[in-house]
Amino acid sequence: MSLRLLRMMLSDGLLALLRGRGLTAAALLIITLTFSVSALALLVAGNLAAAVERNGSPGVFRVYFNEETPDGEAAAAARRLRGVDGIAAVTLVRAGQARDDFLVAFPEMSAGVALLADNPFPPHLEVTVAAAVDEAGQRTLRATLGDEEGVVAVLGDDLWTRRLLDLARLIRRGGLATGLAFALAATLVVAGVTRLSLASRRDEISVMWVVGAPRGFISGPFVVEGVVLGAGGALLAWAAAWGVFRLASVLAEAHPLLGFLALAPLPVSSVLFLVGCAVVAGACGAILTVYQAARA
Amino acid sequence: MYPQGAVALRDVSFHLEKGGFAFLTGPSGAGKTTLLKMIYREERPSEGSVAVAERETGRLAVSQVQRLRRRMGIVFQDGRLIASRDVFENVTFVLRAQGLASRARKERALTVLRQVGLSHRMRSLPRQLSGGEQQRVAIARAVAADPDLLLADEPTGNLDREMSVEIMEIFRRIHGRGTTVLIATHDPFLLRKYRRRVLHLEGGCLTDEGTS
Repeated sequence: MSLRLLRMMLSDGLLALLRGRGLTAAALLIITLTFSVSALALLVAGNLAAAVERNGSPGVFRVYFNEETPDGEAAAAARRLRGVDGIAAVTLVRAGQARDDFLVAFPEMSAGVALLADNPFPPHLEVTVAAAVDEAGQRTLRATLGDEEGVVAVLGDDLWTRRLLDLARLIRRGGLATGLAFALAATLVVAGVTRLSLASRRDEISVMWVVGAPRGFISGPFVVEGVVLGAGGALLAWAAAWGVFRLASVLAEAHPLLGFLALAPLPVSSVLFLVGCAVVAGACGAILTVYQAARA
Repeated sequence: MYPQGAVALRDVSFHLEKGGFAFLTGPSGAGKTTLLKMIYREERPSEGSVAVAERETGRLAVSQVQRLRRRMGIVFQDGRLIASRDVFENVTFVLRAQGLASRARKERALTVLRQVGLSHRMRSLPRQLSGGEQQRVAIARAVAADPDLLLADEPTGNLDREMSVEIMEIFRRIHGRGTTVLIATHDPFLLRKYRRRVLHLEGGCLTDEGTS
């Protein structure tokens, strides 16, 4: 395809969109609305997963020993647990380290801690659960950890974080699936617009045909129209998602309880996915309609 | 023959040499338009063959047909101008289809519009023109790409005598530059005035061939 033909297709396609600006606006609105659902789903899923991963420490149990347990016994327990199925890693946090961690986390309490004659913090273990362990396996593992000598508490039940991550994954998959489903809807919208555009330019096309215009010259502008409508709709949907993100960010910053969210906009990969779907949908809608019309 | 069984043309055989000029005559419904359509392959014969520039059109692929059409200029009975585009655009859009660059299109369109005496109406829409002017735009469009073969279907059908002569003079000038011209008409005045080869169709059959 020559550059000149491509330029002609582009200018004719854009001109046709401008001429039928009412129809163009309506089609853009519909495509934007459909892709906005996917964009918002991807935005929510991404931020939910990030928030859970940041705040939830998924797959980690904290195993606390009683105050009398010396570091040596805790270390022996750590060695034993490293051989247990379903455990990916065991980190020993000695009593002194536990006190230092506490002081870093709560510096305002340092004066109070300094007054104590003995270190009140017992040693503990941070047990990372293997990714393949399911909910039932986690419950068994939790019981195993609790049975260790000197253990008084097993904390860090991560079931809720796993569930939230599952939910985030579900929303993301839903977003991707609706993205594909809405791409089909966008294809139909573009097909409808192309059909109307073909009808309004029937005379022009028939003259083009008999004067020997190449196929690409005749159908190209319609494909350009479809691609521009699809991509435009997806970009507007992305802009809408960006607007929602900015609004949510402002609200989160203003509300102290939502500070942990640290929202992020749609990642580039998601934007590219949406625009890609929309471009393919627009091109397919236009090509199918032009092909149908040519056969008729 | 059309699918419903109606016969449009039967036993029509003729050869128009390169650079020739001929009239295709006959009453309404004789098959003149169908014959022209077969030449630019908008219609295909159910039997027999049509060859243009020594190529049998029935055997050509779509892209080859389009290439062949780009070497032809066609003036339709009803002009078939694009209502939404002005005179200049009506001419240049054919040149765009031929792949001409913008500057070359402009120059060529201006030249042919000057030739048909319409350079002052470039920005007018077809509906703002008289029937004769519209027909001249259609001729300008047909000759803009400097075709090897010019087909005209009743180009003077709705025009008065003076305007018909004016348009025939344009065809004569185009023919003078080496273009092969075939004009379908049933205007006896033109046949008498311009003594050329005549192909007479009646009831779909070529009944007579001679000079007017």
